[in-house]
Amino acid sequence: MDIPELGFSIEIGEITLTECETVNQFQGSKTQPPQFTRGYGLVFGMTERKAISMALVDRALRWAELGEDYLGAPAQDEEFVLYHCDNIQATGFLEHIKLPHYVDFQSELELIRKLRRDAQQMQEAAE
Amino acid sequence: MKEYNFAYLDEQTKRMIRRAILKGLAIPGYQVPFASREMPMPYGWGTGGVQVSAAVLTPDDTLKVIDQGADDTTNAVSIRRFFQRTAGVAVTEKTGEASVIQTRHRIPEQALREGQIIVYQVPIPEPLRFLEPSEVETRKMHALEDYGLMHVKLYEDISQHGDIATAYAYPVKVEGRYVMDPSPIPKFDNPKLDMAAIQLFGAGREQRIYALPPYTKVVSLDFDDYPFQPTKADHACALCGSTSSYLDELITDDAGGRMFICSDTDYCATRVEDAA
Amino acid sequence: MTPLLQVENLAKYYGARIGCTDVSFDLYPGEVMGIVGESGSGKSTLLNCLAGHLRPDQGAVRFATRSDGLRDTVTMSEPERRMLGRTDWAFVHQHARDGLRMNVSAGGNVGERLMAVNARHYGDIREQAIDWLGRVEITQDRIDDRPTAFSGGMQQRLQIARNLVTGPRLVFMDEPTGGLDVSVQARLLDLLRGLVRDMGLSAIIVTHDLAVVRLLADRLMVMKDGHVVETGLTDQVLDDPQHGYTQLLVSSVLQV
Repeated sequence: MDIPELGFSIEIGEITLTECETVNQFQGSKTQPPQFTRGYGLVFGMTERKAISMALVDRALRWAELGEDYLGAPAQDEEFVLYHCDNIQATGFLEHIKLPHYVDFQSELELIRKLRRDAQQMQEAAE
Repeated sequence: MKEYNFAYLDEQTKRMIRRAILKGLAIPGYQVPFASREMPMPYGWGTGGVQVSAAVLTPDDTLKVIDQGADDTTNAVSIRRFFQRTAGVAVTEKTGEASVIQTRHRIPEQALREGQIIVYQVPIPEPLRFLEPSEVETRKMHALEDYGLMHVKLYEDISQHGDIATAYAYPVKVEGRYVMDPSPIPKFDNPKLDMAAIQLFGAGREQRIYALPPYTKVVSLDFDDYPFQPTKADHACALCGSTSSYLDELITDDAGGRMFICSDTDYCATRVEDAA
Repeated sequence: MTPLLQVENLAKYYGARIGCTDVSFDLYPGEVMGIVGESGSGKSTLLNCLAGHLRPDQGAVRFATRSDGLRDTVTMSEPERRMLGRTDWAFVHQHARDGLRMNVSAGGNVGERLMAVNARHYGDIREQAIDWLGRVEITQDRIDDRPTAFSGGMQQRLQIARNLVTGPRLVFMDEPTGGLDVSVQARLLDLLRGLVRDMGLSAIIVTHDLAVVRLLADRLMVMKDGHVVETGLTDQVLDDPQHGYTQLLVSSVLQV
């Protein structure tokens, strides 16, 4: 804590935090090479699930900011998401994030590397 | 074995699931709705696959369960134990010895043979879901074979990224009729979908079952001038040296060190044993 | 010569209210027919019945299919009708956003119908898209832009390209120039006239704008309160209207 009168910081205690960053579907365009998008969650205490769920909701509701289209999907509606994401199916979705995904992620990684390589070559060729 | 009915589910439920499976086999690629039960595991951990396995298992079966190609991952271990406990069936890690294989995200490297059943765990059964959010609409599109939108998506991928931007759960067309999601297997596995074994797909949360009978024609969607490519990392397995199997990339230190190893643990271990 | 479209005794009711009733006509290949009338006259209801968007309560709409000759599209199965909708038929909506996919690039919009009839060569599809964008005066460098970035007139031209790319044999148009600025309308009409003439299109155009039919239509059908009150060659109907309502309609607009 910073005490302005004293001009230095003093420690008043420690707080355990759980931070979670998710790597999600990639996007890109002709001009911008494809890149993964991310979600972020930070919660008090040691609660992985809570941090994951926060990061998921964070990413889900950022669709407009990331320039994605509104498809009329319920998951793009803040109200719907916040009202309906507290059921047993949602728990299941969250739990399943704790399972490994390295096979499909690996496949996506290969693809995004290839696309970025192609994009770079195209750019170099253009220059 | 007195504590549970064989394979956990009651007989009526298993009959209901078997009817859905038979209907699925009769109409390859068509998503059959079924009354998915709550299972003693979270949705997303293979509740659909487990229900399908429970409905097809017999006491004489030998079960293999893999997740990401491996027999020793959490999901695989827990589902294998679940059936050991509730069905008392024999289990194996050997692809060739199993009569029923439940899988998440992979198809084994070793070709499956007639008489085997492979059960896929499916999170999102609807291949058109991310193009059309409404289930009423997607069902109509399937019924009318109205799949123009699917190719529009591939067209947009190429015009935007220079290539088809789907790496897993790559959509396929079944027997020239239904477009199907093969579950999130890497597209490397797509060519294997044309196989001798029976393939069953179970989505628990979404309450759908679909199936491919043996030797069903399964074609990955593409363009003539941008043909489908079953890609993998361009390396050999660091353990068994295979150059034809699907590889996982392992980061070994903080200095950028990495190694590539087979994702199919049984395939890799067998090759190492044979070489020794 | 056999007609391309044969409409017999068509009727559509909304409860006790008449949508349109007692409509019969033949449309021959290469012919453009205009349907005019005020709002609520039943012209849009009629068009939607003809194009298979609405199910009529009575009557037949026979279309000369490529394989089996005249077939009643009302009793045809839904898949067959949809197939016609993406091959031999085209439908140009008044509002371009109803007829376009707004979140798909211009090229993808034009390519969709080609892909729906199994075009599977990306390069060819793109080439055809570029060709068609050119024909509707959209430059090639806009091919990867989305319609949301286009002006109203451009969106409408894109919609036309998207519809005509598969060489349909019959085009339905619902107020194709409605909602556009006058100068933009003129340019679009000019373009449409060129396309109709060059491609020998058969079309049915619904509009309340007599200038549109004067330029495009060979024949006219005037509707009022769900009934056809007068039919004839365009010049004949516009220059020498017989029915009182037609006389009123013609006298109420400036001559072009």
